[in-house]
Amino acid sequence: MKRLAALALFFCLFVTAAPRTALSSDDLDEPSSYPASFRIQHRVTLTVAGRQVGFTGYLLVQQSTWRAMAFGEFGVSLFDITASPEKGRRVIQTNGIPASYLTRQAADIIEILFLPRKEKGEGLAERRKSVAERRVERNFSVRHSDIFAFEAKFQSQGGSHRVMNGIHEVSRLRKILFL
Amino acid sequence: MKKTRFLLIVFLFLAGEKFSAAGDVEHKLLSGQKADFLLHLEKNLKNSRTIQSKFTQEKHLSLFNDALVSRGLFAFAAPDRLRWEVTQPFHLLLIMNGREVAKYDFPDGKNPRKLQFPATNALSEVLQQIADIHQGKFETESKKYDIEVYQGETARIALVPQDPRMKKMISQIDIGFSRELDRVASVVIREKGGDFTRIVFEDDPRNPALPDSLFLIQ
Repeated sequence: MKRLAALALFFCLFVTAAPRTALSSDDLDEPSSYPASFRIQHRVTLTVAGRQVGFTGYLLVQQSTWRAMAFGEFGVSLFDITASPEKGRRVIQTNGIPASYLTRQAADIIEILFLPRKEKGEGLAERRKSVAERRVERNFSVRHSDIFAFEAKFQSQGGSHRVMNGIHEVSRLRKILFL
Repeated sequence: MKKTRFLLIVFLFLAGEKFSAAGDVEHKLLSGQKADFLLHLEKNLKNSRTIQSKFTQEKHLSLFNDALVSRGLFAFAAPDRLRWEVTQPFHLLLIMNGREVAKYDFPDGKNPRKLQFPATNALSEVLQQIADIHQGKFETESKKYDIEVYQGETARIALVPQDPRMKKMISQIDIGFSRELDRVASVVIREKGGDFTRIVFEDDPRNPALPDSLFLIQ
């Protein structure tokens, strides 16, 4: 158990070690182009100083509200965080990872990778709408979901891949699950 | 009719019976019965020197109506070689060979990349625990868990962590067995708050010949 706690703390070091400057959206290939509401499952490998920690992440985005959960190999929860315009960023559950790291650096990473860039004077919801329309034009299949009564769901045909400057590597997005 | 049903429920409650997650009635074994059962189980499970099975892992979150599913292959050779390979929706490979443990991902989708662990890692402990369970070594587990045995249509062992820190993460682990008590059929890892992960193993032939290459760490 001590080992597990140590692993969690080590994970925190990864998150802490990620400099905010390294997460600039300029480092990404292109601005986020995910649909307005979606759920994704992805495999994440964090690499620092040549050592890796991997976990499975689930992210649920509904317009400008999102929730992210991370799980170890056998499904045990590592953390669960959420953010909304009304309540800000909140930790629902964490297993040894300090809440402050999750609501700052980890949440920054998630928003940069998966949410559209906030441009000056632009409402996030408005931006999301335009993103969704663009995805439809690219021939993404759309399904209705009974989860949270989303208006539309998307299933990726080819996946997506984002690499963040060698410190944080997010592996190939295998699938956008939509249901 | 209502009265009869109520009395039946009261009776079952008083008789110490409960319903399993699958809905069948099961009862908790008393201390003496439990010890006998565990001995019998260990003897049966130890007959499987090798195991190769497909597994399905379902993550049930209260947030979603559906389960998030991954699939893979599991191989075990007694006493201490184990391979856990997730094949869908992503590819991940864990190998334990004696004291050595390795983890691989497949960044290009084909070629394995051996991951370098942090200085401290719980993975070898978890893999060893899986090996112990498949060999019926519940005496080892009793140092870390309170163990209860439930007998219904099939048998189930409930492991409740003793360590308060572990309890914060895992409230209980349920291990289900085949009717013949000769293999682990499922493992359910229950978390505080109601979320759980269910791993179901397919029923495959006992003691298949497994090549050493399955457990090779490179």
